[in-house]
Amino acid sequence: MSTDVNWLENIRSLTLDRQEEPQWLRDWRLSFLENLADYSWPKRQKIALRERQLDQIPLTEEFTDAAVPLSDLHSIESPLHVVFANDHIVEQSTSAEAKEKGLVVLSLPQAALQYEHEMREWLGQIHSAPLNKAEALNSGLWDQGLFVKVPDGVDITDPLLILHYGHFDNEVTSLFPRTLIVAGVNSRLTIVERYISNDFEGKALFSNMVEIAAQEGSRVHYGSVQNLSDHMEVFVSRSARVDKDACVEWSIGEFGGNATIALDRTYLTEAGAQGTHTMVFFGSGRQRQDFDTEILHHAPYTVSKIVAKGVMKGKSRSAFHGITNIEHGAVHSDGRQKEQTLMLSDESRADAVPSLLINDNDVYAAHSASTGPIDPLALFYLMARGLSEEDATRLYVHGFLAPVVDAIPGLILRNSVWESVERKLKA
Amino acid sequence: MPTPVLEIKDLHVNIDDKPILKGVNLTVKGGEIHAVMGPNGTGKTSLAQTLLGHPRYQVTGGEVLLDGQNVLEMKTDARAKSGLFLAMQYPSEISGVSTANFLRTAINAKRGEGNQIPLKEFRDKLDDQMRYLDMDPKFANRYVNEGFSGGEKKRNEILQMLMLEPRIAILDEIDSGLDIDAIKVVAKGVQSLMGPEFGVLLITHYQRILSYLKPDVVHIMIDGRIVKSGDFRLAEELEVKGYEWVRNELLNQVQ
Repeated sequence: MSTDVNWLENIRSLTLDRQEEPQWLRDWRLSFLENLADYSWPKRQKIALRERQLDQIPLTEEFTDAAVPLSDLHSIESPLHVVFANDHIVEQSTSAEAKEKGLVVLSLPQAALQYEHEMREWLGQIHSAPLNKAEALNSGLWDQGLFVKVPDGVDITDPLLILHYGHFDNEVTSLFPRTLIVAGVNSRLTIVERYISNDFEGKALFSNMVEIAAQEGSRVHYGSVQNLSDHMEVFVSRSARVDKDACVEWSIGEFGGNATIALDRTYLTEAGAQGTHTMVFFGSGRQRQDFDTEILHHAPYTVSKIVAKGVMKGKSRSAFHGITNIEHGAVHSDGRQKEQTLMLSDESRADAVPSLLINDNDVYAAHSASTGPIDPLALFYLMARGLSEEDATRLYVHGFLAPVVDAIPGLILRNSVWESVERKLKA
Repeated sequence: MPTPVLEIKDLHVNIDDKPILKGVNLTVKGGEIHAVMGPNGTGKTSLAQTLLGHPRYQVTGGEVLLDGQNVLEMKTDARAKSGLFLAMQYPSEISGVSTANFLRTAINAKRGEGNQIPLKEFRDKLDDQMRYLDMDPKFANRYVNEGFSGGEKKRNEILQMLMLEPRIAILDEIDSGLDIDAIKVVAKGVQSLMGPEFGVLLITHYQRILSYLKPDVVHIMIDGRIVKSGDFRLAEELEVKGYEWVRNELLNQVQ
């Protein structure tokens, strides 16, 4: 479909022409679409993407409106929130505090009109090249997207919750959400994105991009919980630029999707920048999950930590690649990694591959990784106290994940991760 | 609740096709303490683990009945729910799960849906039993057995027994590695449950704990069989004469 000239014409007229966006933005989007053939799908050792025939998935020409299930709407627990259905903003609420302090929450096209400077400076600039095909498609085809800007010195207490609901059918077979967060000097923000969808049986493509620019002294806690249907091909690309003495803390839960490929990149660009990346994932059925989490230390006195915990059941497979890259000149930096995967079935597989790339002396770097099956003696012990095998497994998995999940800041995000774990245990 | 009866009849058990138990017969009733003694590698722990359905052991013959019900057909959790308890020689460490949470889950599993123990009732009971066993209240919030000393693990096993109130408790070397004060505490815990609705199968190497938990019957197990049974004086005799004496006596019988 992507090579079809008619397709691009249709996209132009149906999707892009509806947008009220400045010419520079239109040109920027089209630069990706017109050269789609130059981009390739990410190459992953553990997932044979070619077999998945991703290019055969029809791309959505028009994003139709959809109603978000009420139970999901009611699960929003913050006065500060935005709800997307098929990448259209359908509900938005701003707390009195956020209004007073000047928090900006807009769709990307609106932001392009009102905050052109920030948009030009950051959109697509944090991780610019080389992009893979999923990222190129997202860059050309996002519909409304979200722009969040925290003014200098502002501390927003309530978490900003963003719910993305995808209603897939024969017309909507691909979605491209995009979020750009600009945290001003010495500002603070917690943002939590949740991704859910209906259970569409056909193949569908989901490519999501998140960009964070954390300016000097700012602190951004970004949480994301993905519970898309298990028919979806999910591509995620998250990147952050962390300036002097700023801190970006990622708390990521990856649960849904058929294949999920997530590329996370944190650039510690200036002295004193900190980045922590916590990821919890749970595969079931025939899910394939493949994660690259990279933190780059460009400057001295930068600190990073990658923590990943995964649980695999059924015939699922996962690969977690943690990369701590300490570049030349990043002296006195500290980079750590810890990865653990628990396998609940004989047919599941997990790889945890930590790498430390160190190009200077006088740095501290450490990593540990382990994968292993559930301890049969522990299960016997729990069952000998009257717990069913299911309950014993649940308790064991909770115990395995607790040190990481309970350390996630924010009750809403923690609960959302635990609920997802609970759902996967029952899956 | 009627008096429990655990009957083990001609039990044969293999590990990896190698016979370990070769026809064990034993009956424990409520109100009784049975001690099973014997040298290392003789099948005592295999007996204990088999009674709760440890997956490593294959039963190749015989029966185990609790109040006439076929225990061998039950899964491990069903055995626990019907009233069997095994205090393990090497209790597992369950990282990330607090002792209190584990116990509450176990009690609720036993009580069943819709009959969950109220939190306050649970807390009070846990506090009482921990005080009774001289345990630091902090234990309730520590992860199950993680970083516990040998003695703390054994005490934790007894705490679980007191909380779960089984009908027949199998105590596998509950005394090993304990100093005399700790043995007294463990014995006190067991004594507190004693009555017509509670019976004990006590597996031990040493006669020491029997001074505090006086057995009604002492069985000597050698090479997968119970070769001699008697009253508590058998344990005392064994302490003086050693297992070699039993072996020689057996040989003499054969000749």
